Amino acid sequence: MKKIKKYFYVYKMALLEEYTYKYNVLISLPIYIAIITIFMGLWKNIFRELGNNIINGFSIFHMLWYLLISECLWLSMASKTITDEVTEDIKTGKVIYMLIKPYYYPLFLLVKYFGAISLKLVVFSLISVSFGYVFLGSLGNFNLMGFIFAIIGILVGILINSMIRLIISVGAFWIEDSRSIHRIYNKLSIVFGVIFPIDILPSYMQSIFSYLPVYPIIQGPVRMLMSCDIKFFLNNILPIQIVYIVLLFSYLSYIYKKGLKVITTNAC
Amino acid sequence: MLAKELRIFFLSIKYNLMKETENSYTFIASIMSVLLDNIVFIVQWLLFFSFSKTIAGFSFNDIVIFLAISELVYGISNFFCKGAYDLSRLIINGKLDVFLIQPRNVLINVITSNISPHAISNIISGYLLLLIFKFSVINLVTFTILSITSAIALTAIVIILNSVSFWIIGFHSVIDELVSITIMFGNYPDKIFSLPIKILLYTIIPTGCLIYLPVNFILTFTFQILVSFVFYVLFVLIFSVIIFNLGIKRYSSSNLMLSRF
Repeated sequence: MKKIKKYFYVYKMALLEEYTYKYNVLISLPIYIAIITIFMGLWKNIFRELGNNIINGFSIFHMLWYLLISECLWLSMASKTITDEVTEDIKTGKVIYMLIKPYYYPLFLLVKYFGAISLKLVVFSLISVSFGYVFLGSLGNFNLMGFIFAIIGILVGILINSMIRLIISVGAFWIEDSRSIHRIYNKLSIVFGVIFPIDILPSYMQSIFSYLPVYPIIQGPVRMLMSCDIKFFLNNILPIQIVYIVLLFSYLSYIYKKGLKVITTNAC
Repeated sequence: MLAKELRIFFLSIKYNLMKETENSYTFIASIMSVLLDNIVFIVQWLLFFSFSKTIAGFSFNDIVIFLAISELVYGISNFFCKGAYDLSRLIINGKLDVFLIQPRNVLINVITSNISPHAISNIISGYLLLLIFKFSVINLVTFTILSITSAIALTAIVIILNSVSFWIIGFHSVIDELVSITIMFGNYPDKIFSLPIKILLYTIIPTGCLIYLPVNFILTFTFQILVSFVFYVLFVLIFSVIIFNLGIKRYSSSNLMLSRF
């Protein structure tokens, strides 16, 4: 119990720190509005050019709702806690001070990361849902149990994304600066999942895309939130998420252990 | 005088590049990341064009020009005039003293004091996109001239925004966001947006004048567009010099001792 309690305090500390600078949350808001404006315009034009209202069962209404939620989640997940800060700690050798403390460093970072993004996640979710209801209208198939499962799916998705980010950051043990890899990962995830749902792709591409990390991180949970279909979640999303978590955590532990062997530090 | 400024400017580029390329792996990785970034962007557009052959009346090759110009404008401005982007920090921290005492034009001295070597990858990307998707000698010439002119206008806008820090402290956090949004909108054609957004893009967000006017000129060769563009660039350039010179009169030193080599 004591072991878990210290991580709870880490979460609380990160959350309070974020709350102290609460207005910083709003800094990402113009970017969010810009992205939504761009892709709304783009999808509206594509649907207009096609002359029909449906692409593979997806209407413009569903497409815009998907965009609102996926972008909201993706921007909320962005935090320097597990990217720039870790890279910098490893680069400068500061990481050595973290290692002598009574916690498992990767777990400490994951918990701290969740504390750092909680406020942003809540604020952005409220803004996007309000925006969606006012300008697009209700999704219609809301049910409480489905919503609870969707929240679980979203949190697991965030955990998967944070572990991938951490694995990239830990790469700084060897390549010194992993920010460029973060940038590529970010772009790939946006293009291959954040800006469109898997359902609009041809069926052969859907089967490939469902194994990419962006499916359990964004596409799956957003689809779950929009449909509130518990059966689909338990059969098609959660198993993939669990497999990803097990594989990523094992790899993170392995790569972190290897990284510690190559660490060098100066007495700063 | 101009020859001297240019000599110092190119020396500054040389030494900054030497500093940045010291760790060659990191430097090459950051350049590759921008190139990959653009490849992914192309894939994104290919996916969109798999649904429809044209989007808002533009073909795939036309769309790439938007990205190419955006990359080049941002790349040139950042590579050669990174100092303009740091101006507000220099003002707020009272670090302008070191520029004021040198026998050079203060504004040129500040904006050319720093370069962003990674921005060279944006320049390479811009030209690669043009060469692959829309190459012709006339396109290459107009593309280069318009991009350099637009980069000057972008730098002037950055100077104007940063100069606000002479009067208002705390404004600098908005500047990076505004520049990112300007370039982000530039990657997509103006015709996909509704009228209110278009008005916004030609006024508060300068994407319209910096990116859409040059691209529309390359695509249509309409003389009126070129005239509007030249007038806009001259206006922001003169305005940036005026606002900087007004602001510098309000500048107060922090007595911070710094030296530049």
